[in-house]
Amino acid sequence: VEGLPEQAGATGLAVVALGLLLGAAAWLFARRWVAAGLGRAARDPVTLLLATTLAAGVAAVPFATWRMVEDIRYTSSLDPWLADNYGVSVYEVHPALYDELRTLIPPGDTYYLRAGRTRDPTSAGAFREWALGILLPRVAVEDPADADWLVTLGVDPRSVGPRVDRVWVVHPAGQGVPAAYLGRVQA
Amino acid sequence: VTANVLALLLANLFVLVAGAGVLRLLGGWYRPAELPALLATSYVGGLAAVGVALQLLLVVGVPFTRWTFVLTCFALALTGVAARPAATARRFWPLPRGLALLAALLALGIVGLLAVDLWWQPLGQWDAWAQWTAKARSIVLFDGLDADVYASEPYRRWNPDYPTLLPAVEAADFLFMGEVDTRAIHFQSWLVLVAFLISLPELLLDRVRALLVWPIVLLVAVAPALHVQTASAIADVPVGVFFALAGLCAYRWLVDGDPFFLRLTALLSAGALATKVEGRIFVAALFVSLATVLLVWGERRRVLPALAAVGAAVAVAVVPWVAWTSANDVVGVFSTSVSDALGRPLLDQLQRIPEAAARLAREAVDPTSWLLAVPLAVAAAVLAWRSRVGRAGAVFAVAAAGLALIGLVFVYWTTPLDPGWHLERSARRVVVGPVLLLVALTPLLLAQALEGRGEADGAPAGRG
Repeated sequence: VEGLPEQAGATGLAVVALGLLLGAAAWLFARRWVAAGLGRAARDPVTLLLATTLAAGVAAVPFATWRMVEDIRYTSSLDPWLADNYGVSVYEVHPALYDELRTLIPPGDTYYLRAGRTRDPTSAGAFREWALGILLPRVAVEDPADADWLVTLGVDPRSVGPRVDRVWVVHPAGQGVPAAYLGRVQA
Repeated sequence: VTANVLALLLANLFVLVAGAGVLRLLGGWYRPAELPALLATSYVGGLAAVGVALQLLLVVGVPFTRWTFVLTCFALALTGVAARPAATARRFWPLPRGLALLAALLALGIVGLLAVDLWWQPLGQWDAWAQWTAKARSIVLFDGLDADVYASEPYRRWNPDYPTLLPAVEAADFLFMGEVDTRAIHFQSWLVLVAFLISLPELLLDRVRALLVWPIVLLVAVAPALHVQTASAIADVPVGVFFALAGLCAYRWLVDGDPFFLRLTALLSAGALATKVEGRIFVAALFVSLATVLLVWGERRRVLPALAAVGAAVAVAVVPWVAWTSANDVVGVFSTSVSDALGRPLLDQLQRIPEAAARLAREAVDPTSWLLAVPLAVAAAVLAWRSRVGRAGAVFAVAAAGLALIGLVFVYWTTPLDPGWHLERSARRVVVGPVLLLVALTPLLLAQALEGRGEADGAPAGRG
């Protein structure tokens, strides 16, 4: 799915045309065979409907095959690490920052998430929502005052509220996405 | 990935064993030689039974471990011991020949290629990684549902009030893998799809000739929308499969009167209810249509068993989950109760109704998504209606799919979200259920269209 071609292009259109030809041939032959199989006339509505069903299925096989092969060509070329972190990477948030966060934040600690403005607002949403799953069993909290750590995108952790005793840049800015920071809340 | 896919298959083998036991209890088979005739259906039934049972165990706070899952499966399998022998033995369905064989082989080839495609598939669909698999990960890491996490503001984005069949099953898969492998998990969706495709002949071929079944199986197997939704690894295909097979079983009970099919309808409905919130709309549409057809065709005595079936499904799949979410103040970011929805200025947003209806209809009939599945199913319903003997079935099929779509339109009418964004984000997915229902019923409609020629009896009972 991730590697499906956005446009059919010349190859895709040729595959569609091949499918239509196969479908048309299947319809012509299937009509007779279905009629014989059902003991009905070739013009019987049930015969026509079944022949059309079969023809539509046959016609779609080349295109379905081509799409999946194209998808496989793309997805099989992905680096395994990137494939495991693919969901957030397509929104231009670099997944490496979460590796860094998992190294620095001990399991069971709490963190507060804040994302600033990004070129594509979806990036900020992806930054937050990917964290909620991937950082488990570290737990996000609503109030920064309850957090052991502050995880931010494009926001200096020192400006969030709680007193911070150390700040890490877990990923530099790039591709329209600002830098990601981790701030440790002073105990 | 290979080891993790094998681990996932092992976990699902336990689901199959559980389903075989439950289907024996329901009267699907008795002697071991009968089981192969219902193997895929046993898997789907097992998925519903295990998923609902796991949801119940999560609600009562039983620690979620590999042993919890295995013992649950064995406990469900053991229920089959209480089965009583059926009057007639179930025979393995005839293998396809001729055109039916061609259709079956093409379908097999396509789902085989889809397996290769899923082998490499990263988890890219937003809802998959941001909700379904994230929840499964939390179940693994917290040994169950952490009410504090689920009720807290940041995790409202997970829609934690959504039922938890799929996260629980995925969590069991991850426990068997020993890690959260977001590529191998796609095979869970693939198994559901394959089981659906094989369940169609299993549930039809004792009544319907092969030539009416296998072309339909091919048509749905090559439908691009089904490939996309399966590869998305979200809950729309599972809920659609439960709904479609529940509808198929309801239709079989309607026309044949075999109580096994009503029991299976209840089990699969429970599965749909425990998978997605839309499952409630689908199951309501199914049973309202069933009860209406029974009343219109003068079969009032059969309404009570149908109501008992839906009541049982709701009691196990909805009530405990809703009680847990209410008790723990667990609400999702999309949550709206019916009263909240009705409290909105609905008359000011009536224009949403035709917009949503048109969009859903367009998605369902889009040939680049579903090929000709829906127009052909509607044509089959018309033919069944014209045959007179198939009228009850035709009304049931059209009413169940139509009411499901009306229910979805109601959701878009009352949504607190921007309706355009909401439709754009979900319309393509939510039509999976009604489309698969129509696909599953098409062979029966065609069979009744053929069988009813020249017959004057329009009653739903009898083998037509």
